[in-house]
Amino acid sequence: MKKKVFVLIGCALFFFLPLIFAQESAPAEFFLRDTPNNAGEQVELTFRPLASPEEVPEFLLNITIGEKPVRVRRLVNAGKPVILPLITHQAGVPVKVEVQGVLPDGSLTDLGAVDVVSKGEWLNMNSMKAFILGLLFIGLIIFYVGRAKRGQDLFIRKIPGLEAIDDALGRATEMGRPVFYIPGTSSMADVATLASLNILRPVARQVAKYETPFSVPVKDPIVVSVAQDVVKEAYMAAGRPDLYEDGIAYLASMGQFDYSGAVSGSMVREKPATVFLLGMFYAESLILAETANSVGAIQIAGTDASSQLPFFIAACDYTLIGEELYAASAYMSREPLLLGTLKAQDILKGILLVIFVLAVIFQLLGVDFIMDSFLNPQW
Amino acid sequence: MKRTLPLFLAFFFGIIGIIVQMVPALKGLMDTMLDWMAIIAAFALAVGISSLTRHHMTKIRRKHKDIFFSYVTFIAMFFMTIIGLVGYFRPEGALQGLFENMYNYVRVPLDASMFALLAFYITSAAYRAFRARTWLATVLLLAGVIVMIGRVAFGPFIIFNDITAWIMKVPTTAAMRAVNVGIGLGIVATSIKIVLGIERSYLGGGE
Amino acid sequence: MRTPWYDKIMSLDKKILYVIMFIVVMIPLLAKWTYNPAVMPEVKDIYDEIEGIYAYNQSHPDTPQGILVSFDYSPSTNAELDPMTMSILRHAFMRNIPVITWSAFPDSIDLAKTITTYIAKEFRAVYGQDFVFMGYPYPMNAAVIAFGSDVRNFLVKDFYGNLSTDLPLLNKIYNYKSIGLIVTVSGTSYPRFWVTYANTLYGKKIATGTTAVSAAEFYPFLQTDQMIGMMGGLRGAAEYEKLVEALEITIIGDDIERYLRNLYSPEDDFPWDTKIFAPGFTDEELREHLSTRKTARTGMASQASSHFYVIVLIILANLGYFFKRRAENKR
Repeated sequence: MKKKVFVLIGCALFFFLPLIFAQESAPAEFFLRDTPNNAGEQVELTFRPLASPEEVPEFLLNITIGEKPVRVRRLVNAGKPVILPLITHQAGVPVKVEVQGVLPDGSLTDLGAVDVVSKGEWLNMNSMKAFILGLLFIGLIIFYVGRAKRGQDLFIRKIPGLEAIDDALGRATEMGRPVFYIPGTSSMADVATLASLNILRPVARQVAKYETPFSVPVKDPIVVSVAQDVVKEAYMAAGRPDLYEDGIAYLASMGQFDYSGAVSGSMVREKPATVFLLGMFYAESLILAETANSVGAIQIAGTDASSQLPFFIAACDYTLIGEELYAASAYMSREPLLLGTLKAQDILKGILLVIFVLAVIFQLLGVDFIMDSFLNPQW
Repeated sequence: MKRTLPLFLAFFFGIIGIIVQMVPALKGLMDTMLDWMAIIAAFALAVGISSLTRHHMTKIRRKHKDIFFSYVTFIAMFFMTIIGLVGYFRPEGALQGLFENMYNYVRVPLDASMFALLAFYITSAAYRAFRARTWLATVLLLAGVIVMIGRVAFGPFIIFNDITAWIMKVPTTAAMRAVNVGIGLGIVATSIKIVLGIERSYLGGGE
Repeated sequence: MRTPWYDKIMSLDKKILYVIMFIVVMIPLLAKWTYNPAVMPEVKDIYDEIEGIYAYNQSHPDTPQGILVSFDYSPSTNAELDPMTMSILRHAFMRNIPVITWSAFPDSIDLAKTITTYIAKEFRAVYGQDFVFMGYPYPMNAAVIAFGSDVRNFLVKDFYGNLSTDLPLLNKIYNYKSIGLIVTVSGTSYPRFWVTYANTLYGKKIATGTTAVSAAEFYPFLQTDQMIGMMGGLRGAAEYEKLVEALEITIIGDDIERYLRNLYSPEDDFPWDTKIFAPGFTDEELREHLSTRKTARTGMASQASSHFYVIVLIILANLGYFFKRRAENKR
């Protein structure tokens, strides 16, 4: 008998509990959480309206961040969940959100409050994939540099643009005309500029050896001082410090088209026999390349700006495409350390290619996890 | 020392740069570094002006054949600086208006003219470069011509419209992506080389 | 010995090429030729979307949807991009769709304000009721996020200093719920930013207008439907211009000049806010308003003729190259 009563009560509870809860279900569901993977400068409110827009057309959020006065935000019930970022600027700031529903007649009903304290994380999981790949890359570099140091020969394919440098400089010497070197029009923060300055050194050294007039017009003031140093050291290494002067590398102008005007002008007047256009370029690329061509110069260009590559390929005698620019300093110096990194780069590219191909194959087979795990920023 | 210190700084700040990306709690450090960059960049302006002045002073001293342009540079530089500064402190004066007019009606059109020269340069570059030297060059030539017609297609050429759309969406995008992957790896490799001190040509010497 | 013809072609002086290029570009501009482009699906999609908003507004007169036009370009790219914003705004005003505009850069504030009021004037649009200009919201990403809840809290005042809560349009349309389409016109990578925020976070539809050089960058977004449409370069602008012109002829008729002339009569007692624009057009202004209806297509005529000129040059150069090589092989 007792058993039956329990079973009955159990059944009743089973059927009625959901009803009780359903009657009490709030017009909205919301929670506040610290935004992961940041320094605590933000928390986020997830707000899911459960009542229909007819029942509760709007919600009022009374937001208190730290010591600041309460801010009221009106949230229209669109029937869709909303994630609202709240800026705290730093970790350790308490955030409180009180929610009120605005009923159709304009009256307010309290829906409760949530709070959280913003906190910073020690590890950004979003960057984890990049970090692991970076570590793998560094590992590969160390491995191949070690092999190169032990004297193992590393093959590197011919890059015509770089092979041509010697001839181009020789030509300028024979003709008695200057060599122009343009290290791109970007700042030092651009890796392409660094890559270009790496090539400047061997070029300047050769130029000093041949006693050819040399000019390095620059657009960025910081690049000027670095370029001056690079040229000076190169002249000293070539044993010709007497030929060096600070005016070789100079600031032509800091505006994009002023710069191209200034450089084109000096090209027309000085008629260089060889022009190097290596680094980051924007719309001025073709202006420089065509002017160089019009004065009969050999142009060796190279950039990683993919939208400018077509112009260089059309207008210049030799073009280093994208990564060839980065490979140039290793190629020219044949230094085992640098060649080692080149090899590591190729291996990593191979690994990525394999992953791409595998991802495509798996996707075709309907297995999504490889694609998904790569596209999903978090692990 | 002259070489060691920059190498150490490159290593130190390079590593910090990586760590900051990984450890969000150190974001404040990143902001400080960015502030410093802005400050150093402001000083660089002085370096730049001094470099420009020295370059043209040398030309004037040596009576270089293009001495005229050095004078033009100096006159333009001092003129704009003076009217700009005076105009800034006396905005009600005539110089402020002069500065704005010089900017709007001299500098901006000159800029636009330089940009417009591209139309001419593209003509001569295309005339010279698009030659059917090899079969690959022929493919490039054909693709170029098709896209050029396709972008302005009308009447009987309308078929080129669709071919152009296909060329832009499929082969171009594919090639762009491949080139970009290579460039991305190149950037990473160069950065790592610089941080680890393997690449030091940019400091002047490799030895 | 006489120089063979192919050698002459191969060593043609650049100056001659340049002079001909100049003439080829100038003739269509001076002769006011217009180019009639075929409309690409990515441009038609934007047009259809705005027509869709119009249809929606017809059936929901109390809760209309508006469009947000973001001027994300500076004056350096205005030759290509101005015709796009003008056509989009013409379309919206013609269909009485509420318009909100703003500019993403400080140096485009003036440009955005001028174009918005310039087009609004053509359709007797009333400031605050039919359109608003919010100036330069800073920081931009905060403004874009603020639109998710209530933009009036973030942009307390409009460009002219009116309180946002005083503007009837903003009281109806103050968050994404009532924005049917976002149009970002840009020569930079700003459209990516809109995709990241407005599309990914709030699921808003994004249409882009961009320079021809940047167009290749945004095709992947069209493929993934993160953008509903794109106007690429002057060509895209010309296509939209053509669509809007056709619509204008159906709604207003052939004689736009007469329409504009009669738009504001001297006895008009409507209280125009002359701070926004003065009613009425001078003859000079009329000419200008009519010619901006064809800017992109006139420009395209120029572009088309220069493309064909370059193609002719390429063929010529290749003939010269071919015959020269043949002659060398014979020798």
